[in-house]
Amino acid sequence: MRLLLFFVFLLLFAGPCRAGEAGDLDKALARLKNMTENIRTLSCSFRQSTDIPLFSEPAVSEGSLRFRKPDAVAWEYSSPMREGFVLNGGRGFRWEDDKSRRKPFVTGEDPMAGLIAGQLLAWMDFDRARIESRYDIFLENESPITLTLLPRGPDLRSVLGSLQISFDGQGAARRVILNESGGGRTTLDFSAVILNRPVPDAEFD
Amino acid sequence: MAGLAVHAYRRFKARRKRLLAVCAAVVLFCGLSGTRVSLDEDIRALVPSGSPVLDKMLDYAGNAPYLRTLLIALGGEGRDAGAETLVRALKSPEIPEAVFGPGFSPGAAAGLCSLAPSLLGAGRVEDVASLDARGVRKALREDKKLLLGPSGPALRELIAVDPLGLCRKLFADLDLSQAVKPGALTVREGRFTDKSGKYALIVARPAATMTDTAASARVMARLRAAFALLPAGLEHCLSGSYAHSEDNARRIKADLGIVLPLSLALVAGLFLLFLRDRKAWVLFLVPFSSVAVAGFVLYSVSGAASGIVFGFGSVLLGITADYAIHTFYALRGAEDFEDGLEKIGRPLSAGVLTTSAAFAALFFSSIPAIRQVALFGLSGVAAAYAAALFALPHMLYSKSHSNEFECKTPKFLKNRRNLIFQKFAGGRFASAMPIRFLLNANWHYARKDTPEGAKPEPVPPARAGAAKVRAPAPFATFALSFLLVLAIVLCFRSLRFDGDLRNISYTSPERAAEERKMRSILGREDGEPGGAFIVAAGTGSRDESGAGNGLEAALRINEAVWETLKKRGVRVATIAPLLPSGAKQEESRKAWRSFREKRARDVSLFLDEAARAEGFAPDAFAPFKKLIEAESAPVDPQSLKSLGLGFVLDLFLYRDARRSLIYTPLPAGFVPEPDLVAELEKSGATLVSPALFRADIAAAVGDDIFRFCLITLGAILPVVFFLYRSPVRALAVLLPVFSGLAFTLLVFRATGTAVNIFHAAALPLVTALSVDYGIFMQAVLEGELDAAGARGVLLSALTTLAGFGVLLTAGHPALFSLGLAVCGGIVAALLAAFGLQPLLMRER
Repeated sequence: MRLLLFFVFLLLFAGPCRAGEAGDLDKALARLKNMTENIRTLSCSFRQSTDIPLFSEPAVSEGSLRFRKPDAVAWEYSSPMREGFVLNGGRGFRWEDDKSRRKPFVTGEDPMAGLIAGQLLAWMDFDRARIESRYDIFLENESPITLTLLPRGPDLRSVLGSLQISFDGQGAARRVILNESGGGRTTLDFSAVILNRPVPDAEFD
Repeated sequence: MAGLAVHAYRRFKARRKRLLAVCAAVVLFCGLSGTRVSLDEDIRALVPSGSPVLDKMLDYAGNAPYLRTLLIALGGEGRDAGAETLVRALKSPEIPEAVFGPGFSPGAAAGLCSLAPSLLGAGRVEDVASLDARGVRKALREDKKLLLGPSGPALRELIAVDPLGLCRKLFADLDLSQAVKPGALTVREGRFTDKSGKYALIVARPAATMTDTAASARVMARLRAAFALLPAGLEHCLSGSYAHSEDNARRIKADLGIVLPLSLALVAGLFLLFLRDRKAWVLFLVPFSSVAVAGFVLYSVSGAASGIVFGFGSVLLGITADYAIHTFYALRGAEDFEDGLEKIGRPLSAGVLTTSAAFAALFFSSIPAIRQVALFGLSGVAAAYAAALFALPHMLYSKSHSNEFECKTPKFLKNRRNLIFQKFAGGRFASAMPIRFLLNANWHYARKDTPEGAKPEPVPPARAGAAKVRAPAPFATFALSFLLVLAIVLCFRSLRFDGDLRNISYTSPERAAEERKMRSILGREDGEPGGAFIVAAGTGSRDESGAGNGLEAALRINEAVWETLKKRGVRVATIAPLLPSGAKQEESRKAWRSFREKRARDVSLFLDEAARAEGFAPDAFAPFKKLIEAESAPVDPQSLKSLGLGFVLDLFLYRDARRSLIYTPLPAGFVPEPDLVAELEKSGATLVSPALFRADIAAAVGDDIFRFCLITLGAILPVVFFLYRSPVRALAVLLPVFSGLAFTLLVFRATGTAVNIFHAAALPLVTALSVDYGIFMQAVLEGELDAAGARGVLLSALTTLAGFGVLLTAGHPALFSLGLAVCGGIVAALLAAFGLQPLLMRER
């Protein structure tokens, strides 16, 4: 989860970012940071393909994501299952079946929720030191920008082989590929990214 | 003793130099040996011992692995990288373990599942056995959701071996986030953080115990070196008792650097002011000798002593200077030295006897440091007594003076330009300030100052056979004594005792600020109760395989503790689900075997059907099927360590060659009800909490005070009544004692001071020193000693006050408490000796 969400947000907020002409990593990351500073809200859809040895064939799931600075997020799957979670100001709930079953949580007490909040904040502040403490970042392609991230710590490496993030010709992130250590692969494709359009409070209640 | 002193004086008259050379050699030898006494930096020397309950609690607290941890918070940009740097820098012989996360990987979780047959327990195995096709399908549907969800990558391996969610229930039981500081840690991205996520937390476990301050200093040095490697801008904060131990050791050393020289300077100054004699410097040799001999005895007996004992060295200087002073005045005022020794012998012996009684009473303290003070004090007093009676006369002897005594005022004191100095010094001192009142109060010997260098005035009436004999007025003496004793009894009954060790240990302002900061990071309130834990202990010899040492017994008790707490809804971190007792594991395996024989085939079929229906690969759950078929091995600490759970296990489990202790920390703020405590104790566990600890120490302090008073009074009263053979005279002698005690206790009561062990130790000292003033003053008032003897009493009280008074400059609360309590008592005793005793005297 930590990997997936982190890079989901990395990509989405990096959407408006354009690869610099020089194309070097520092410039690309500096530009990403500049872009995120102006983002207040985000809405998008995603399509996830999970191709892992446990499944007989790749499983496809779809859903949507909404975010509002500083710490409100709603992540939901619409297919094949109906479930998701909402987080707002350190508190939130998980839900299933059109929110008929809700389970509240507090980020400080729930490691998973805390993880999400932490990753969001890490991204919003574009804490490059924090990212680089966990990953070695490589610039695979200058135009469009494609980054590959290799986990540094043994704990993370035991789960994740590598991450690949691709941006479209306009500089908007479109695809994240998680290559798992055990041989699986998860691909996330984002679409209909809308930035800085007001997201009503009800979305996070 | 006076006869012996006179006899010895006569005997060694012709061999003074040889005697003094031997004495010097002995003192030198003792002094050199005494310097080898090492500073015992274990703060357990300040904690009562001898009580089985307290000893047990202290032992458990000292060995509690999670209490021996250091928690470091790192805040600011780049804190995660900083945490990694710090962990690398900390790992050393002083700090063998340091982590920034639980290190519990998905692989370890899957490995733990392979131990499920031993860990699950019969109840959960039966739940699995009762699963039907619908139940298995439901479980796989949940698995698929998890695999597709954000946490999927971390769960692949676990779900392959545990598709039915058996082990996940085990993990739910084991709340690792409560393991180190209950309720304070959060695990995010495999790292420890505070609840807000703004601080990275590092948990380090030093090799040494926190009570060993020397080792604590090495741990702190390692920490400082590691902090120095952190990039600028990272804020760090430390929590753990090691810093406290280091603070205390530093404070005591700093105090000693001030207290000892200051005490010496004050005593020297007093000698100079009062004695005005070139030979007076030899008086210094008596307290010096006493400290040297006391150091030697301490070295011979224990080899090491608490810093408090070293601090007490200044007090010993002040106390033992008294004997030299009294002998000096007696010899100077006498016809010859034999006469002087004859006069001083009895009061000096009585004084030494009573002071020794006080120190002897301290031997019965439950505090090791106080017992060391007793040994130090007793040997020092004995040495000073011997030096004052047997060596000092020979040191003071001068051939050129008719009465053997050469009394010359130093030139600078004769200089008339030093008028101010003269006014307050020596013989003129008696006519200055309130001392004039004291010295001229109401006894005829002091009305006339002894001219400088001249022999003293009148021969005491009692000895001269004068018609009028002066004695204390019976009614006034009885009435005063009654009132003072009543005040003592009333105050004593209302004493409150302080069992909080924090109040007799030093916390620097920087440390206090850091603690406040850490409490804020961890989201704790000031004064919030916490730190309580339950210990399941098992004892037994380790067998050849290294197993045993009471682990099984401890595990069974721990299981009972967990069951009790679960029943009451208390959420705790415990190793009970990770490491069940052998009996419970066997029960679980038996149920598992039964499941394998009767139901495994069916469940396996259900699993295959559900897997096909939910889109899982045909061999997706091969690890689970393998688990069903395999014989499960018993789980022991070693097997958990091999799964990477060693750090977690070591937070809860302490083992040595003969016993195992399993700790269950209670949540911060949770105060167990008495019935819960009773239930826990019934199951064989022990609750250790700061509140209980404080209550037991307070009770130990109360017991100590009672013992001190009983023993001191039991020793002093017979001596005084035997010496004076008259209740009125004895009570008059005891008036300074009553006044000193009453004043000290009244101050405690008036200020609402809760009495700590060092206040308690002050009471016998006040008693013993005060009775000396009473004895000497009575000797002066009854003419046994001349008027200069009163000056001797004043000087001796001032040197004692100097000894204790310098403790008021100490920053360490233990030394300060002792100094404050004794000083108050001594001042009151001094006023009673100079004010009340003379007032009570009547001619008859």
